[in-house]
Amino acid sequence: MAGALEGIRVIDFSWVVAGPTLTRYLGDFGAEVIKVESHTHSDQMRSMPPYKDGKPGLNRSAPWANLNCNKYAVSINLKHPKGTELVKRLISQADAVVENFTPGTMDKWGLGYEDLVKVKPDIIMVSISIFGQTGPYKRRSGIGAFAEGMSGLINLFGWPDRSPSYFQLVVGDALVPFFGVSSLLAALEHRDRTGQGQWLDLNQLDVCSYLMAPLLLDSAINGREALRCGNYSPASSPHAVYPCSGEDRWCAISVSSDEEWLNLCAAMGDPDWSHDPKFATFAARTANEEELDKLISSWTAQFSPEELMHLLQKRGVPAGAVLSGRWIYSDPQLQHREAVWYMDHAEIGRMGYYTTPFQLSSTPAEPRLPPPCLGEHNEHVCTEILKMSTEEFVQLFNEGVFV
Amino acid sequence: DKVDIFSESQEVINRLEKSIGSFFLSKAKQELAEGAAERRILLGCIDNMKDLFQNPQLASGFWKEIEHPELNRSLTYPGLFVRSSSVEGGIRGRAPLIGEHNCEIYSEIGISKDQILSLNQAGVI
Repeated sequence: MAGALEGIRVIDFSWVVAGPTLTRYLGDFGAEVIKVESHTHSDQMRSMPPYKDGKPGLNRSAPWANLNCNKYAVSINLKHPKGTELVKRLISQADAVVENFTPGTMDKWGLGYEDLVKVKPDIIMVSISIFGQTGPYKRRSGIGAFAEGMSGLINLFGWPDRSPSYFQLVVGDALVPFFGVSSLLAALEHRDRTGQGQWLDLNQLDVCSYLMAPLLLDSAINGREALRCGNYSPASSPHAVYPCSGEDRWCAISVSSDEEWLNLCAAMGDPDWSHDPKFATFAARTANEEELDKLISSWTAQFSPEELMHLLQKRGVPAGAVLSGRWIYSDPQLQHREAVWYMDHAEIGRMGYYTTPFQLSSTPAEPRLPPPCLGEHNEHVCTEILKMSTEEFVQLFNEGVFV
Repeated sequence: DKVDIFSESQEVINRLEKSIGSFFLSKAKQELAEGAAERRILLGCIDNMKDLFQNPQLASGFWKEIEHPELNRSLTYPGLFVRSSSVEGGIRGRAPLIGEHNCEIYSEIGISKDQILSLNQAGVI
């Protein structure tokens, strides 16, 4: 089925997580995404374990594969003058270019925005970085965690009596692609109306700081600094994760009204302690939250997270099982949502890929292509897309343009 | 000796962190950040909201002053999530008051001022 982005061509220099996640969403909806790599400079993610059968290889990494399905791949030597020429030829027939190198890298290769505009005046270039394309930190090396720290995000995680904890997710890498997709689509729409392209500076510091709006305003206007608060919430009590039967299994419960509190008490069989005035109101429960959590935990421990979630939800108490690993694969709601696509790959064989987390009713995201082996589509891109003759392709091949 | 932080014991990690930690405790955060940048060492600060307002990288272009006539002042907002070479974007105005744009939006879809008034009187809008 034709995707919503059918006919959009994206030349993708990006690597690791942020850029490839963005371009994967585009490919999921039918855009023609062409990854540009070389054997000396391939996507670093290709070297990230776990590998198929534990055996390393540039086409065997599971995390790389998950981020790079629905794309084509070419391997081009950008140090070869005909390599740069070939890439520019591709860009002249593309709608957008995506990259996430340290600012200045694309300029060094003669592929900066000013260079690309000469090749295609209405090109849209999306440059993703940690700190931005301009400003005093533009040349600073960094990883996503630096933007998460500098934006105030990391400072919020953990317990009030301890130093900040780090979270296992790469928040900046996960969020930037969503903002990138919407920005790129807006830029395409702007181009269709005005003929004008643009260069988008999308960086993790701006994105993570933007999320802080309510806390920034609270600090500026009310002089209140947001503090670490574990799992607590300023609006709900009780509000925590509670231990369940099984190893390291938990269920989250959140009570935001007196009605929900009474429902929880009823679900627990109205134990004597639940009538204590120190738990009767939101304010009282907040003041005695540690004791409250211990008491609730002694009840929850007998249930599996799924049992507890369903039991409480039936009683009008918000509750959610905390899932991980194999529990995610067997969750009926996620199965119904077809949260995993299965595709065959030349080296990996059959593997599950996380489905796009947002869907369109008439033009749903689809598993179109397994992740590309390095340089897999050199000939296809040259002869089918650039309409090069086989002779010309072979000539370039012999000159070492495809490495 | 090589240390693989992913497989090393907590005791070894604690020992390493103690010696590095005492160096960190002897310097202010900004001094460490500047020193690391000069020496091309990867170091990231854990900042809070006050620090963001002082951040020199965010200082240019990130913040927007938004008028709040109902509060008789303007407020500084984080203004954008993406920067463009040629198109102005980001926050344009504060969140709307309830029904603030009734006249503007309804007249855009062809509802006359008189109709708006009757709908209002009938409790529809």
